[in-house]
Amino acid sequence: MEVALVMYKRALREAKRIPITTVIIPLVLPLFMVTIFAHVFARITSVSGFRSGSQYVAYVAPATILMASMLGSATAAVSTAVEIQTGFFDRMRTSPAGAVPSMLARRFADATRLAVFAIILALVAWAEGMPISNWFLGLLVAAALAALWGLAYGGLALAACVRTGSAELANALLPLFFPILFMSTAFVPLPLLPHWLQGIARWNPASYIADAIRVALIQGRVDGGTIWRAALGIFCVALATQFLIWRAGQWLGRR
Amino acid sequence: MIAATDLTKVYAGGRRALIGVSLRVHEGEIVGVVGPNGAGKSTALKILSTVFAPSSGTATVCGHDLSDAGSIRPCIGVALQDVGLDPLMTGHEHFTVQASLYGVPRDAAACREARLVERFGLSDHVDQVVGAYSGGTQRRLSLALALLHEPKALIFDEPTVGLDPRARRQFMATLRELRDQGHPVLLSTQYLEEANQLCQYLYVIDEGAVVAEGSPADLRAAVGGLAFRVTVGDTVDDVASRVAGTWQSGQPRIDGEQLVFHVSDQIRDPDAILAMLRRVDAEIREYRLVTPDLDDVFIHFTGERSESEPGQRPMDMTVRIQRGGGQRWK
Repeated sequence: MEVALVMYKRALREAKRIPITTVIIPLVLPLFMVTIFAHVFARITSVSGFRSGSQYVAYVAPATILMASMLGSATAAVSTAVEIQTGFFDRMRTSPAGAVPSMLARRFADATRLAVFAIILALVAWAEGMPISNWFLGLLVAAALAALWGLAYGGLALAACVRTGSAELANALLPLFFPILFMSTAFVPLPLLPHWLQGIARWNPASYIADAIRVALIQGRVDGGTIWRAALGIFCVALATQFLIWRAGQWLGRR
Repeated sequence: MIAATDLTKVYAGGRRALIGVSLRVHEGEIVGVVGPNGAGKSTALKILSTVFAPSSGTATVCGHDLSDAGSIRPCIGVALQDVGLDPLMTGHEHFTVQASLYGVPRDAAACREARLVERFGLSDHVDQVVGAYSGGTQRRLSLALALLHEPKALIFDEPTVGLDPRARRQFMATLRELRDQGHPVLLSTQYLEEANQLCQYLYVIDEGAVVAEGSPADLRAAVGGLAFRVTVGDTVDDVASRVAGTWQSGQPRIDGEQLVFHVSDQIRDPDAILAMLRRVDAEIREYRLVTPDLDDVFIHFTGERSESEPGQRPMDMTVRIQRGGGQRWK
């Protein structure tokens, strides 16, 4: 337990020491979306499918939170790849504690950072005109879902980095957030998506996570059905990525 | 004690890095593994450090079987070839992390850290991030970290690479102290003079196999004969190329400004060498007949690489000098 805590503090300290890659880069595009993009497409809410009188900045804010979550979730993977390259990973592997506490601590440090990103983006969206009915509930749901989604989704990059030891691969996987978010209800409501895309969006966990955050922030309530589907989606993605990490770890031991 | 029997490692992709390596390190003994780059030294040490498993073969470290890595890890202090440091952490943070990885209580860790920082000359650096360290300072920190949990056995892969002569001498003194306290120490090195000074027993590894083993003195004796060192006035490479077409009794090796001829049973008379050098118009400045050093041993056992694939080395070419004297061809 103590080793996990030391490693967690270490990962947070590291994020502070390289803010450009751990804070600024993951936040630039989402901040752009919530401050510029939301206003450029402000009149889209007049199209049927949006709730009447709603503001696009309020609709798109959860999408930017998910985007930051996905862009910032690769830090643990990149750091682990660097540890493999520098030999620090082997230093941990030859210790009684092994490398697992470090990987877990890095992932939870990522989750902490992503929760903070969610709160920052919610505040910026509020400053841009998004109403927040229940501050505590809204920020809690946004931060928790962003952290959990980042934890689950970031496992993909981590598995790739453990398997290859290549930090570049984690960066190569970053653009995946585009198809995942654009094939969901994060940017436009379901009726506005092309018919063939609606089926994908219904199965896309990003749709339910974005909807759950939106309801919590704007309406100040938890929609049981949506949050249950969001949690199930996160769980399934986490299960799949955890399996990939486990396989990569097995391979590393057999090298 | 560290003991390995018939360790074999085949990497993913089929590359055979180790072929039946057996070695033994007793308590209170420093044992060296020497060999050219890519010979398999690091692979052997990584297996014994539990970084990865062998493809076949067995080993015990501190009385625990390799398959029981969890029991081995608290007992060993490891410094691998890569220094294994995080460039974003300070030296002090490394000590904190290392202590937590090995479950060293905070008070004890602080006390040992102070001692190791002093011993390895890290006082001026310990609060700086490692990325700002020189290569030698990083190496010193890496070695200090390996000793933080007061391990029973030590495994060091080329530990003195990058150290300046003073730091190297200090580290060698530390190793001797640890040996005198009864710790088994296994290290690989490219510095044969260092192996000569430190190690009681040596394994020469080439192409994944142990090609010779014994004490430094026994290995030198196994090379047999003497080394005839000739300092020439011309460019030494030039003379060596002229000698190549003339001298049929083995190519001399180049050591700085000198040509080193192995004087064996077949060539008893160094005068023949001098005569040959005069025939090729070499300007002879100085010559002396000396006992072979470990460089000669190294070249003798690893210098002439066969074109055969690893694993096809005829094992009966391995020379083994058993502990306590005596020599036998395996």
